[in-house]
Amino acid sequence: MSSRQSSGQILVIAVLVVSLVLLSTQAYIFEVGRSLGETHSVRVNDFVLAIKLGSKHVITGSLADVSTGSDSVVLYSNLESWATFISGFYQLGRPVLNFTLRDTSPYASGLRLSWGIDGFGVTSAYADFNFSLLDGQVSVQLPYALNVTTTLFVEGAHRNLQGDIMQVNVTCRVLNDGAPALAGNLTVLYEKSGAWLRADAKDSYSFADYGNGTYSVIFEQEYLPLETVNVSAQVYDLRGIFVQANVTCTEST
Amino acid sequence: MLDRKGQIRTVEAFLAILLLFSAFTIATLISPASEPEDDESLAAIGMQTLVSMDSDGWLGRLINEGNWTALEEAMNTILPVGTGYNLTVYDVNMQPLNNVSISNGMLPSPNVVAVQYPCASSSLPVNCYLLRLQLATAR
Repeated sequence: MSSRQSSGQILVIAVLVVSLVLLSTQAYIFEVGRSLGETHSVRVNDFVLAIKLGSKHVITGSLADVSTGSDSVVLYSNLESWATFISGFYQLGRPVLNFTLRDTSPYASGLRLSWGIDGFGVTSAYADFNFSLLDGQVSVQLPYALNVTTTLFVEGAHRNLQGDIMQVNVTCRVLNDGAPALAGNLTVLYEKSGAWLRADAKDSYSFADYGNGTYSVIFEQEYLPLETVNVSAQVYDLRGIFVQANVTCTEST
Repeated sequence: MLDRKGQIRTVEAFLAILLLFSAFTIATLISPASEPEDDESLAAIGMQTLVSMDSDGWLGRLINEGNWTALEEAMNTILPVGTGYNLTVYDVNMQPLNNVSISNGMLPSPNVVAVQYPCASSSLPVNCYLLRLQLATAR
């Protein structure tokens, strides 16, 4: 009787052990599957990031091109080429990239080139995208908007040194997408008798770079009394985007 | 008679456990289950390497300039030690652009993973490129 009871207990323990083994196996399979899914998601995320980066680079390059004189249709045609190029990838699923250029004021065909006489200049591009990636494991729908903007603020002041000689002080601030940014090239021009002349051709020209996107240019020029002192700053930022702004200098004491 | 029945059941149960453990052990040993995970991780490392080089437009600029040496040096620096790679850059017509090998010469391995990365240059002219990166680690 005692032996019979022990046999039953061992049987119950054996069943428990078997159940434990089965559960452990299931848990192992589940963990392996989950780990694979997570790594796959990382790759999908990186791919989506690559698409967004590429879109931004296309906009930046196109804006640099348009700002230096190319036809504004360049932005659309470059983005169309990019979208077509992307649709050829089937590595992680079927990618589809659609875009529309911002056409509401102050943008027209995704572009805004406003180079004013009030000391404010802006060169900007804006596009809305919708990216989808259809895959067996992951389905991605990602609407996003990209805006690339280079802004220039110019302030000018002049003061009489002696006779008709005036010292002109021009301060320029460059911003990329709202943050201070370095200029790749900065040229200051002044207006004299209807002609625009380079300030750096003057012997008195001095240039200061404050390292934070702010630049100061000082030069001396002869002006008749009551003659307005107009200056213009032209900037290429480090992305190759051109922007300019004109301003009438105020008299300082 | 009943005692013997109980003993046989116990033996059966142990045999079942033994069978399950054997199957589990053999499956673990021969299963390539860990390899896809390694491959996926390697592919993810490859993608992240290219993304980091592309984040400020540097990757597209190097390709536009045809600066394959700088591209190879950057890959050598960013990829983990012991990772072999071979990078080929294609244009939109799928013609290879790099006339020299961009590689660290460590690729010969039975387990090579390939990732494809679309890239656009922000420097003029604006071009689209496809980068095919093959990766392998010593196992």
